[in-house]
Amino acid sequence: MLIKIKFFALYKEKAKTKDTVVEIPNNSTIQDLCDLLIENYPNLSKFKNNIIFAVNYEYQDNTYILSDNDEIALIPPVSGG
Amino acid sequence: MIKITEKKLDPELITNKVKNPENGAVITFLGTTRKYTDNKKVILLEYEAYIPMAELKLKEIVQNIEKKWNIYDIYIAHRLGKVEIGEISLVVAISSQHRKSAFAACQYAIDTLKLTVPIWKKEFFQEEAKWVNEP
Repeated sequence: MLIKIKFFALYKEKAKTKDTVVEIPNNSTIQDLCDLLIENYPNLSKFKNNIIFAVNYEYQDNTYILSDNDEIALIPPVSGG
Repeated sequence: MIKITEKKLDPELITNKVKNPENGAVITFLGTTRKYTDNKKVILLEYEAYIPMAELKLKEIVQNIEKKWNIYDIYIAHRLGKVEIGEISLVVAISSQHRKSAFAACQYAIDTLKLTVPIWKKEFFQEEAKWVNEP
């Protein structure tokens, strides 16, 4: 299945892209996706324990099972205000 | 109401939107960009957001205030893009019948925004630039 990924702020700079689409086996979890992204973007590896994921605009933990066409965002520590 | 914009925020305009003759308290909080971080001089700040999710999370804050305090006159506005030192980056305007609930709701809005809303601030110093809260 295809998953849309968005990168923001620090992670966008490290990945050197703001978005991508990855192909991943059905029933993969966020953790599986995280491992794949770290492989594709080694610059993100030092943040692998800090990355928070959002799926379709909601925060989800790493056991969340992904669905086709989900929009995933890698959320660095927020600092609004 | 909520608003995420690259334009300068006008606190008076925003405050007027929440004023209501049934209410006796209006609180407007302004977040402004600071000149120094850890004694280092900040030259410029830049805000970025995951806009659709940030809007959703701001709406959740508004809904939670409605439920918890029965306050319905709420306006949260956040600035994006380049922001000069001393300018307003955040406006939270709340009016309610009495001051106590307005203060509590305003505090809740800012604290929750800083934890949950996907907005990021980058500080530009003389020789480097850094995302705030960078791990």
